[in-house]
Amino acid sequence: MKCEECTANALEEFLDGELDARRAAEMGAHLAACRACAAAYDRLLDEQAIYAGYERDLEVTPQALWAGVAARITAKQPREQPLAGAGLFQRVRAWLAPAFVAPRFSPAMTAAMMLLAIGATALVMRYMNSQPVGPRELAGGAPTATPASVVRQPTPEATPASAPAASQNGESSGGADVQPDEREKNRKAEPPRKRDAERKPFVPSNDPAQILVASQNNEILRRQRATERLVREAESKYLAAIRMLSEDVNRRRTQLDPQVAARFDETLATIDRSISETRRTVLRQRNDPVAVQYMLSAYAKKVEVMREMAALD
Amino acid sequence: MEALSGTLTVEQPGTVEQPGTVEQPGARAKPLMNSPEQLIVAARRGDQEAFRLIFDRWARPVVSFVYDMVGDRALAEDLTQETFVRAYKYLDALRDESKFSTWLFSIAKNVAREHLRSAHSRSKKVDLDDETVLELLDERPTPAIALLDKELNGVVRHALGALDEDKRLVFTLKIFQQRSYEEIAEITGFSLPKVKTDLHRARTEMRRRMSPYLGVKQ
Repeated sequence: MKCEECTANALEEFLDGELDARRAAEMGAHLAACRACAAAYDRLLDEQAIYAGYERDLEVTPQALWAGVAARITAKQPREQPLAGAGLFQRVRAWLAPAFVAPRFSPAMTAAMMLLAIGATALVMRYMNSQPVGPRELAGGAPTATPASVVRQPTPEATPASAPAASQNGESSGGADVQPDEREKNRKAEPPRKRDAERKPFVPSNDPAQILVASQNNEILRRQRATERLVREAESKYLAAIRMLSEDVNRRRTQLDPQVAARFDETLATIDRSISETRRTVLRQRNDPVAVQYMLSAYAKKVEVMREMAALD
Repeated sequence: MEALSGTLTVEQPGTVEQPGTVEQPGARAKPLMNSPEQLIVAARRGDQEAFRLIFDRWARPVVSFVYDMVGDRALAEDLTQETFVRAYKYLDALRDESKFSTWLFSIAKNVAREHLRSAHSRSKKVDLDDETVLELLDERPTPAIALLDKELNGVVRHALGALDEDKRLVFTLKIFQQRSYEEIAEITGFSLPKVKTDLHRARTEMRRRMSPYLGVKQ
């Protein structure tokens, strides 16, 4: 094989195990002999190592997920079986059945979902309002009992003492598929990263004020993450309720007086705009309780309007 | 036959190692044991426990795949549940049990794409849910979270979110789900040349976005 044949596409196909045996053997022999092509292949391997170490912000618990699946497939029991043995009448009836099914809207289900969402909202608000040291204090306002040296400390991102706390929180830096020594090797091969260069070196200190600051900052970071998680959960409950209702609302819309349907659509559009705006605010100020409250209230309003719309005769 | 248990053995690229050559990687997972057909047959009869075993085996890969497509954790979980509910409902439509996971991923792909499409069409009126997707593209990390965020993961996530839908789909299936080109073509419905082209372009785009971390001259 010549270098001209060793294209980026060919190297990728070789890496992906997609070349036939003859071409793979030729490619393997070429890479063993050609330093330039081997270097190109090594770069692909480096990329692959990074992707192999990619960790998503996901904590999947199949049990919890299964509960939702089980509930839905149980509700659909008996499973839809082929109608091979059924008579013509049963076949026709089964075929026509979907046209006569009742709306999926269940007042009890959506009410339960609403209660969950409201509960989640209350939890978020209580948690946010109970924060002993908030980002505002950190940004400038001094808690009365806090030493002056503490409040003058920089924001968390500039506080080196917070960085080790992150790794202590069980956040490994590697993926399951890459061995630690390989990962270390890969990291060594990487150029210094921008943020590494910007970070100040961590110097252990015995100064009680600095220790207090570090501890407070860690607590703030922990609470901010917890708050974000709670907000996400509350939001996801509202979205679940909205999804549950949307099919029935769409079906019901066709049966409504056009003027009534238009009024509902207009109201929903206004609420959607409100959700969108408050959501943007929350994304900018993730720990602002007022912004969060406005956003969740907008979601609640949308669910309320959709329920009203779905329940109309 | 695709394995339904987590027990896998890795097939070597070549049975006899040739000295002085570089072996072609991309080894395929090969099952050691299990009878997925039996589980599928049992699930078809309405055996939920059998379906639960199927679910246990595939829930994580499916939720990861869907998450890579939609970029939102809670949504990915919802869509994964929807995927399995549909799989259960239409299990009779699966003709070849040996292709179960390909079939399952094609359902997951449809579910994710339906969501992305509907989010996109809603965005013409009001941009509500699209923000969940666009959150992937938000390059402004919260200062506090940036400290804790693992840098490379963030870079990969942002780069992935910036790919267009087709490229993200193909890239995810190849790189994270280790599917063959043929399987990707089956799951996506794309032609083989399109799979190759999209994958190559996706890799190139990802490389460009990650170049500071790869030390690659563009």
